Amino acid sequence: MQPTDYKIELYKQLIDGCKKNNRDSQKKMYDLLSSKMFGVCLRYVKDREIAEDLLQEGFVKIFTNIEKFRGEGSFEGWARRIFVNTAIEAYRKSTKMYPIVNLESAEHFEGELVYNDTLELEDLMKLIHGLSPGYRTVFNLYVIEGYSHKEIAELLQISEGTSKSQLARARYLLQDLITANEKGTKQNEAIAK
Amino acid sequence: MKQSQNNNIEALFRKLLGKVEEQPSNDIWSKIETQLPKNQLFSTFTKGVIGFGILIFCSFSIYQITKVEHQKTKVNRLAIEKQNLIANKYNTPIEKEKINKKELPFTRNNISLNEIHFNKKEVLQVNINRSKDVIENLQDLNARSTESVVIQTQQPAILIGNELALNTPELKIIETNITSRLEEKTNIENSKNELKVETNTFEMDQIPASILNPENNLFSESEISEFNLENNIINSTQILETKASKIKVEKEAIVLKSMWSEKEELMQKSAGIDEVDPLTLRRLKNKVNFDRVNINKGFYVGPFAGVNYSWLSVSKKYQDKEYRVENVKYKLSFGKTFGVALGYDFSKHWGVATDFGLSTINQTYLERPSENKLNTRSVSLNYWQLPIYIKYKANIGNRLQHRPITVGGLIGPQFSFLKNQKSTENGVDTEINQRINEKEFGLAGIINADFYINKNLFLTLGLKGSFGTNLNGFPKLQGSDNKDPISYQFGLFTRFNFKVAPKH
Repeated sequence: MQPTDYKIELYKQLIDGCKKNNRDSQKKMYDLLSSKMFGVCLRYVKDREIAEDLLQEGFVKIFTNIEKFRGEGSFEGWARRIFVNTAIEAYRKSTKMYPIVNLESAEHFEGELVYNDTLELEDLMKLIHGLSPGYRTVFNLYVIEGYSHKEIAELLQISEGTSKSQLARARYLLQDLITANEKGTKQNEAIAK
Repeated sequence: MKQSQNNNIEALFRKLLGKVEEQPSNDIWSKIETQLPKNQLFSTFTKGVIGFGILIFCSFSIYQITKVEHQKTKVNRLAIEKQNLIANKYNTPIEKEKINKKELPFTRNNISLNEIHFNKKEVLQVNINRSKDVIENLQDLNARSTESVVIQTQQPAILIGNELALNTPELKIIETNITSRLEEKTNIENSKNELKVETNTFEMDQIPASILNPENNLFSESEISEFNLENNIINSTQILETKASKIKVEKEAIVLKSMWSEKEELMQKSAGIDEVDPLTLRRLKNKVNFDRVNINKGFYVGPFAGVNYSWLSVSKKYQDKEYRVENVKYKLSFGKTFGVALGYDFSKHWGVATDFGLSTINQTYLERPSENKLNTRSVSLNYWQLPIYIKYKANIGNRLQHRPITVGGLIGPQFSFLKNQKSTENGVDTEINQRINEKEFGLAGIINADFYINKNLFLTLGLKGSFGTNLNGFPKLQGSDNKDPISYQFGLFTRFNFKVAPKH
């Protein structure tokens, strides 16, 4: 049996078990997915404890809604979308107090972000956590998850124009952060010399 | 800046952050476990099926229970009809002729006997208005070798010949049997002993004048003279025997209120009226209980409940280059409905009706918003629905052969108003306000059957189908430019109705 086939078969068995509310299968599924899904949560929130709350909420949703998974597409992809939606839901609740506004006056950063190739995963996490929740969410949805502005608008209950301006602003701020990061690195190198 | 150093950071984000993994705290699973449901015995669908089954079972049980009650209760008209039938069945032509000739005054007496109990276990009870009815009952019992009969009356009474004399207040107990008949038919000595004739006496001058009045042709003067008038006392047995011998009646009756408990054993041995042809009995009951006017006309009201298969099309407003409504797959989804129905049947065939209630439209979609994505979206909409129907119905079968059943069809416009909605995308709550209609207008149709329990109650089983779209967009429904979602429902329902017929 090929490793891929083995994985598919494993998922199939675990899904069947989870559909029957089998605790053992649920635990195995959790072990299989928790670190990946926690990574998804950490992209949307800065605080680790809040990310763990999202992880917990997401898994409960997965196990209570697993009947709705029809086996079309990968289970991991389906689960990932649940965690993304959970994060969005949490974000939407938080924005009831501080709603997103359309930044028509904000500079539209239409160019590509540039960087030198020293950036690593840790740096990227810091960069993305440096964005405000609104920018971070739109950036994550558009760039990482591949949602269209139309879908983002529906998910976040904002207009498409607002989604576009948020993304532009996020890019602009990220470029600033990258530039600042590079300067800091060069200064440190100079001091070291 | 060198080209190699200028990279698209978005691709890097996608590459690195898309696969980031991080180990969460160890206690997360235990927290999740506390929130997971315990093993459930039944799924929601199974619960729905069980619920509907219970509903049907309860309705059927009510139907059956009331059917038994229906058998237990007979009104006067039924008794009269039944007795006439029995008379026709068992009387010889000669006896019938004799009875017809003897139009005794007592037959016009309106004082009713209370009840005739043929058998303690017998469910049928008969109220008698005419003394003639009693006689016919006796003949029926006689024909079937009945050992004993107790007739309870509100008034003291006396059996004279084959007629029952009512309104004789001084008579307390008169218990008679046709012992000769019993001797022919049975060898049970105990029964014979218990069935000894008891007689009471009464003052001659207290005998109703009608009994002794020669003008009534009940007794001739010579017959009266045969009575023992010594000490101004007349023995009731003498009257009975005299008259009985004259018209050759074979059976006498026992009459009084208070004898019921003492005669239990005998009554158990008596014959049951259910030995009569059941089809005939049913015909009589139906004739009395299901008045034609009640079935044809009247107001009715009653609660209904049902389950339905629903289908909610995707709004075309959402369609774009990537998201094609043609690519959306619909999963079979069930909803429920309940409410109150009201109607008026103004003729044998025509009526109007409505059923106001809450109806759930459930729909699960499998969406593919882009090539690499697959969404499972579940929508649950609760609508207040108000259809207004025109109704056509027809009776089927013979009303006298079985309980009435009417079948009918209803059709009319339906208005729906959204009460609340819930939507999830991959199990997560979402808002779908732009995808649904807050107010709908459409058509609804019903095919149903009404099963009458009695003239005031009937049970309805039916199929209902409906569709609706945006109230404002309805005129565009047939047009290709309609982008509003359309909802369809098709399901089963049951209804318990109370009917009030117009006076007639």
